Parts: sequence; C-alpha cells; structure tokens
Amino acid sequence: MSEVIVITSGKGGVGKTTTSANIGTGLAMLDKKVVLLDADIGLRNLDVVMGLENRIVYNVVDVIEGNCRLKQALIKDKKYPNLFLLPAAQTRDKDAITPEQMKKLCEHLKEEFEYVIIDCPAGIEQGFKNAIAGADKAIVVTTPEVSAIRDADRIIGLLEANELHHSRLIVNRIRVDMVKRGDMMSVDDVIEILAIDLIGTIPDDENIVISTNNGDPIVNNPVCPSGKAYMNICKRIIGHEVPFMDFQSDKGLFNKLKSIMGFNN
Amino acid sequence: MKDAILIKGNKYGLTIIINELVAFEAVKDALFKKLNDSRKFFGKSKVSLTFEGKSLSIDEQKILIEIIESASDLDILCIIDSQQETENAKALVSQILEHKKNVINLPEAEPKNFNNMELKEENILKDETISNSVPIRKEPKKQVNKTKFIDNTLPESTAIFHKGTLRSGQEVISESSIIVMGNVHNGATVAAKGNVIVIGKLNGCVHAGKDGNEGAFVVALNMSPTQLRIADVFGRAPDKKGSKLISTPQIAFVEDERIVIENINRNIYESLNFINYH
Repeated sequence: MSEVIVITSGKGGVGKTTTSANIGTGLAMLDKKVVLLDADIGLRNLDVVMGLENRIVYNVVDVIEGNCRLKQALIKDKKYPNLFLLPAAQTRDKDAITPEQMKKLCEHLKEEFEYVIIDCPAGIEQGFKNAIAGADKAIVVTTPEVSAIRDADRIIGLLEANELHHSRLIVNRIRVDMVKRGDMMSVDDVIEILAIDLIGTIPDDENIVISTNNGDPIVNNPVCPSGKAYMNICKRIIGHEVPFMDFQSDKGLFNKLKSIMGFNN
Repeated sequence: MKDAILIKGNKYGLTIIINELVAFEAVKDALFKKLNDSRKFFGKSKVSLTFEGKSLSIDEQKILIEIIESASDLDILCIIDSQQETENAKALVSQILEHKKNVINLPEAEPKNFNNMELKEENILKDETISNSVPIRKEPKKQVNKTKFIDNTLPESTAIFHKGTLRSGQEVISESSIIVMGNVHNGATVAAKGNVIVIGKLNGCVHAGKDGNEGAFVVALNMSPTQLRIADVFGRAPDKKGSKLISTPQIAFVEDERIVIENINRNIYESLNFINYH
C-alpha cells in the first residue's frame, strides 16, 4: 500500500526541495519507511538540504542505466535509519532519463518503501514529465504571489491532464503581518483561485534558511512554527486530522489585495 | 438572344443559359471561348452549376462540364436541377461557399451574417425554367444534404460543451459556439466563431465571433476577463479599483464598434438585435 508523492510547483524557488526534505524527514519521524527521490537532474539540491552531499557515490541515472544496483545508490539518512535518499546526477541533464524509466524505478521503489517522495524540478518540460510519470499523488507548492499562483494553476492543469487528480496544496512563505496589512494574499485567496484542497500552510521563517545551510531539515525542530507546520502536513498525509494553524486573514481587505496584485475586477 | 451561351451568376454559382436554337457543337465552342476569355474573371471559385434553356442529355452535360473544367479554373461542386432540391442545395452551397470565402463577388451577395436558418424569399433564384427534363444529376463533388436542411455551419446555431474548469495555459477553440461549465482561469483562453457562455467565473481571455461575427456575445456568471474580444472589437471589463466582485451574470456584446457589458435581465434579450424571436 505504498504511495508515490510528487512535490511540484511550476515556479522555481517556492520551496519544493525544502518541502520534500521536510516531508520525507517528518514521515520518517512518524516511523514510516521513506525514500526521497531527487528528479532535478543536473541541478540537484536535495542532497545538500538533507546534509548528505558528501556521501553520494551513485545516483539515479546510474541506477537506470544499470551501472549499479539500487541498493548501492541509496543513501541512508544521518539520523533516521528508515529514511533514504536517491540523489540525482549533477553531470547529466533532464534528458538523461525517460518517463517510462522513471515509472519502472518508482514501481521498484514502491516494493521496498511506504512513501516515495519525488522532488520535481521547476518548469513543465522533460524534467517535470519525468518526475510525474511514476507518481500516484501530487502536492503543489506555491507562495501567495501572483506569479507563483499562475504557474501553479498551469501545473494543476497539466497534472489533471496526466491523470493526477485531487492534488493538494501547500501555501508556503505566508507572512501574516503582510496579509493583515493587505499587502499579501491570504491562504483563502489562494485556494479560491486554484480550487484544490489545502494540505498545509508554512509561515515564512528565517530558521529555514539556517536549517538549509546546515543540512538539517527544520522539521527536526518542532518549536519553530515552520517545523511544526511541516509536521502537521506529514500527519495529514498519513491520514490524521490536524487542525490548520491559525493564520489570521482579513476578508475585508480582499478586494484591495486583488487590485494591488493586479487582478482585474 | 443571339449568343449560344449566356453565363449568369448568382449567389450559389453559375447558370449557363443555352440558346435552344443553336447546335450542340456551336454551344461547346461558345462555352469554351467564353470561359477561356474570362478565365481570370471567374478565378478558382467553387461553384454550383445550373443549365438552363436547351435541354441536354447526360452525355452532353458531361461534355459541357469537361469543357468548363478545362477552359477555366472553376471547381464545380454540383449540378442543380430540380426545383425542390435546388432551394435546399443552393442554401447549403451558399453556406459552404461563404465559409470557404471563395464566393464570386456578385451584386446580390448577402452580408456575412445569417441570422436565421430560412432564406429570405427574395434571395432564392426563381427557377421556373429549370424543368425535370434534365434527367440525371452528376455526383456532387461536395456532399449536398438532400434531406431536411439542417445547417450546422452557422456559428450561433450549435454549441459545444466544455465540462470542467479551464486552467492557466489551457485553451478551447470552437467552430461554433461554446458553453464552459466551469471557471475560466487567468491565463486560459476561450475562442469561438459563435458565442461564448461561461457558467462560472471568466477571468481569462475570451474571443467570440472569431471570424468577424459582430453579432456574437459573451455571457458569464462572473465577468472579469483579462481580454474580451468580439470579432475585431477589443475590450476589457471595467477596472474599478476596490469595487466588489461583480457577482451578477453579465452579457457582453458589440454596439457601435464598442464592447458593451450589461447585467442580464429578461429585458436585455429584446433590446439586443442578434436574437430573432420567430
């Protein structure tokens, strides 16, 4: 009963890699057997964010081309023995593998792991197509900005066209003070535009920058609001009902927001 | 008339009036010469053909048709003979011709929009001279609908349904009208040769009356398109800063070369001129 979840967004820099690392780690903290798969071939970062870049010997392209066995390429996490990483290649590019190969790989991984978390690259080209090929479910990450939302909408359309329905939304880098002032869209605004189910919101947090540079996912630190938010998301993934963290949004400023953001009225 | 051949044009094509007193050989020569001389005038049009005057056997008809095809660049769609079928076929042919934009520019040619399916009386060529003496019609090159004339090529008269929301980057283009049962997101496009109806929010681009049909309209439950075009007229929903989301259904149409958007109420249909109640 394994699940392959792809973390995608369309727009770059909204937090896919950070989210993949934290969801993977969080699920492992909840005692699930998890493998993280970096599908961003040529521009790999998942290993850096996990703090495992020194341990890479083989990568996903080696596995697909048959240069090594899957077990040789999988890297066990520093802290959690039930968490593994299958890194991407840095010296190749996204045309190095095909969607069919990815699909086979995911099926192989599903035999051993309960959750396969795929970190999708930005864009809608071959990298994206590869990443979604083997996926059962998708999580779309966006920030509450017009450009990110436009790209997320496109991505949702493409996911649905590829039979990946009922994607769930993560709204990342919410700044409650800006929402209150009317300078940033609220989570409700985003949901209204994108029309998919919300699975979690992550507040903008300085600690994420620190944790990324240290190679230590923030979810290890449940005191931070963002760490807590990620853990809540993981609990929702495995089926627990967790109330959403209270980010106050001001409905009265809805229209002012829209006009500032450039939406036509 | 002294001429062996008189070529008359009408909306649907050509009528070749053959002098009954002239021998067939002379008819052939006259036809060849006339068409050859005016090859450029007739051009590469697609036409329907009617023979009038002298009655012709099947072989004679065939010979004349061959002459026409060799002496000119015309593309003969079909031969019209009987009265009843003439009217239906002519109407259908005229639709085909107009949509192919290859119509010979004739004085009786009607403007582009057909607002109703029945042809007005004055446009039907009175063909009392065409009798049933011309026995068999040639196989039409284009399928002419012999049964009840149902025209699916009129932009406004049929619509396709699109079920579901159109997300950014998706587009639907219709040869007739289109009804979107869902929202049209910012970054999506709906285009139709006829009308566009969105049962939801319209936040994307919409282009109705794509082929220049200024009678087309756009309806949406929530009209906030990024771009709204009807035929060649370009417009945008009013951009009042800070105004509430318009939640009443609205209709957009062209009046005096400008886009007009109004709330829908039952009176609006009577004041608009593109829907005729029979």
